[in-house]
Amino acid sequence: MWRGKYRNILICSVCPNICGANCPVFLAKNTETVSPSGKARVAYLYLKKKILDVTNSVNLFYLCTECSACQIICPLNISLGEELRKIKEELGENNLVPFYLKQVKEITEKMNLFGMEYSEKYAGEKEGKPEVLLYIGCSASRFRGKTVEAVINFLRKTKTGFMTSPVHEKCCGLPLLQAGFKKEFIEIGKVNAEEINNLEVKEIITLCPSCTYTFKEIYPKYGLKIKKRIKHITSFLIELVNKGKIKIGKYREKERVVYHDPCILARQLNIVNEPRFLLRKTGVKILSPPHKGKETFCCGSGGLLRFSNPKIAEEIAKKRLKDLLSTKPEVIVSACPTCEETLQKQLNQIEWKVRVQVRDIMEHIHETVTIGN
Amino acid sequence: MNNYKEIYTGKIKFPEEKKRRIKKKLVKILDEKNFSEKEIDLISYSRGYWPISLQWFLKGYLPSLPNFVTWPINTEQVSEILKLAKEEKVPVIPYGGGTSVTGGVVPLKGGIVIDLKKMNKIIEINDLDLTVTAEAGINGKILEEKLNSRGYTSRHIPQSLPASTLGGWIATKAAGQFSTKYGKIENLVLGLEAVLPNGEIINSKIKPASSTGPEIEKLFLGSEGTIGVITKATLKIWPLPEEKKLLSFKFKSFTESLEAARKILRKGIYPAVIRLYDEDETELKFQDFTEDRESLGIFIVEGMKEITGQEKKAIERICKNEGAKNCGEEPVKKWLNERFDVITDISQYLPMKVVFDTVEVAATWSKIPTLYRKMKKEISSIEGVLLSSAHASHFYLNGACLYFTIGGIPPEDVKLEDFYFNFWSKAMKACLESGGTISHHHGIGLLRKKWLKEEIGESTYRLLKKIKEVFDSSEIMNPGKLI
Repeated sequence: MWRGKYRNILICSVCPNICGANCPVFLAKNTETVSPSGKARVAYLYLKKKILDVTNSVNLFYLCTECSACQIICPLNISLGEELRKIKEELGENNLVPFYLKQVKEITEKMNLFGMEYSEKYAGEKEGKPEVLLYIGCSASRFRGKTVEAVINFLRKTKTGFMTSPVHEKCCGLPLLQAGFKKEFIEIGKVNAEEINNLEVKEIITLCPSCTYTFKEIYPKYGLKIKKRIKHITSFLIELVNKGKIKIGKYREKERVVYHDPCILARQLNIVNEPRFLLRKTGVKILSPPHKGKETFCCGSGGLLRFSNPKIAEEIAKKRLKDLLSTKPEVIVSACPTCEETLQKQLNQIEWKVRVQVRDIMEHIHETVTIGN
Repeated sequence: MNNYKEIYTGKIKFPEEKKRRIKKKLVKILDEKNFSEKEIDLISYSRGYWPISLQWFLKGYLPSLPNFVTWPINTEQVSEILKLAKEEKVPVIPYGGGTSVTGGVVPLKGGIVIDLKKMNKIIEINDLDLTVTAEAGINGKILEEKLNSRGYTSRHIPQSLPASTLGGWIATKAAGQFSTKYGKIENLVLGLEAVLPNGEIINSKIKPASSTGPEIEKLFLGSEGTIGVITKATLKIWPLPEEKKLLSFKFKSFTESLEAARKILRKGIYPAVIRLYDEDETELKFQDFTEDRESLGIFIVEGMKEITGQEKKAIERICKNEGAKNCGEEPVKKWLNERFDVITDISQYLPMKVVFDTVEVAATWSKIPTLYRKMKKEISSIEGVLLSSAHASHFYLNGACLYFTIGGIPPEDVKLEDFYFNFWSKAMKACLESGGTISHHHGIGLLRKKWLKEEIGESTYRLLKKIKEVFDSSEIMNPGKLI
């Protein structure tokens, strides 16, 4: 096994949990079993067929937010989430994906993780000669209408030629891969790649960091190639600012803002300073929460945890919200619709009145933007 | 541990009725979610971080499993579990971060694991007294981060910090990397709460010092879960140091670097960190900074600006007088970057089937040279041993800790376990003959139990056994460990 594809699982299984105190699931549940090394130990014995209780072992593999908090502290740069995905792919091939994740497979028909209606919701938008494909993503279309409207308004205001998917927008497929449905992931990936490549746009901008990451980094690993520039919306904004095409005014000078770094944006796409640069331009006071930048802490909805174990996902969300609220902000800004939805939902559950808003960076910025210098 | 096979006896098979009864009572005490008898949980609490058990694990041997795992959330629940265990005569294994390298948490005879990790609250940080009181299951890294965010540090930074817990440190008499200035855990604990095997809860007063007879609670320091369960503790804390100075020197030999350290301490200078590497370890870890067969020494002094500058100068002078050459800050930075990394080496050793372990011993200055030579000679003499390097890393006015790393590949006709226990036997024998103490901070556990009698003497050993009996007449606490 030392030379095979499970080498890193093996390494994690003999590690004393150097990354344990980074793992949101471990910190929420506080048991040895769910710790990164604990999961790897069970995974190793499972692969060696030394475990009788297959059901609970398999459930354990899904107790991961795939946030890669383990990777940033690992001396060997291993992300256990990515390694466990290899086991999940085998589970998918053998029809062993847990029943509670079967709904994920429906993406292949419904195209959006939350149902067909959301794949159509923003389809067919168009402005000018489209140079940009605005890829909205499952979470934004389902939960963050305000964000989507802000982006569309922004694009119109800046006279950016853009379009959304003509009829249906199809999920990037990441949830399929996270559940173990590799075949289905490749199928949807092929359709996405073909459809996008046939469009006459030059680039794709996504609201969700995971979509950018999937198109840019994961697709090529599965032989899928999107022949367009792929950017997260924050990178797109920065370019417009740097080229002098837009100006951000200091219209929010009195606001106390805490920025929550989405895991994939910070760790996988290395976008840490850009959102802060943009926020600073709006004149706000940026607060410093525990766990920021690449050392950010998952909102709880990473991976498929909210489907596999909503209770743990909620515990993690509570912890993250507590971190952010400890800075006494007026606004929590992020750059990921899933994080924003999760934090908003958690905020709504606080019994005492907290006058804190959750905003996507686009909602925060679009009103402060003027064209040109 | 010649009879290593006893570790793999598997969990005790209780009569089904007894098992059901215990389960029912445990669920009543804890509720379902903090109790488990699932196979994946039993496996997760079966091993700890004893290097030989990693080899067994990789072979797919399932070690001794507990029968039940419990996660109490308060001291009262711990008390109830212990009362039940005593009543039912079921072994209890207190569990913290599971980083014991001596088999200390292997549930040798099955029973109930009490994992303290859900008891992880910081109860108070007291600025005036400079103390922190926390529940015993708090993770070391989390505790330190919380303290740092308030401007303090516990300065107890063991290599296991990311995984180990407050209770585990106390139960094993752990040492942190900054111990030369701040002391080992036994010097940092000001008070604790523990649950005795009969369920009684004892609390000690938090005090800077006292003269009120022997302090019973101190028996919990190094007790390795054999006399009760530590549930809470108060530690000293310090304001974060104003300034740090990083220094390193290369010496012509390990003997000379040790001599420099002795002279520094003799002058009353206590750097937070002193780490001196013997020639072999220098070659392995600091090749880029040294010439052939040199010994590298690194130092960190910290505290107020006015003082650190003076200490730095004094250390430089003393090291130069010992013939050392300055190597600057880089080797120290390298160590700081890599200091929690145990997995890089292990991930290289295991695929090559290298059997390895670390052996930390200590002695007073007069015995250190003989202890080092003898242990090194004895270990190296074993056929198959490829590595026996050492460093000294915890220093005292009167002596130091020597930390050996041993690795080798058993000859074809020698079993892995025989090879492993043979180098341990040789190391322990050499240590005892040289007047060293057989463990500085890893503890006794299952592994070193055999040499404890010789270490402390027969009468003291008998007395220790009696003390254990007073606490644990039913012999339920972490059986097979320490004594």
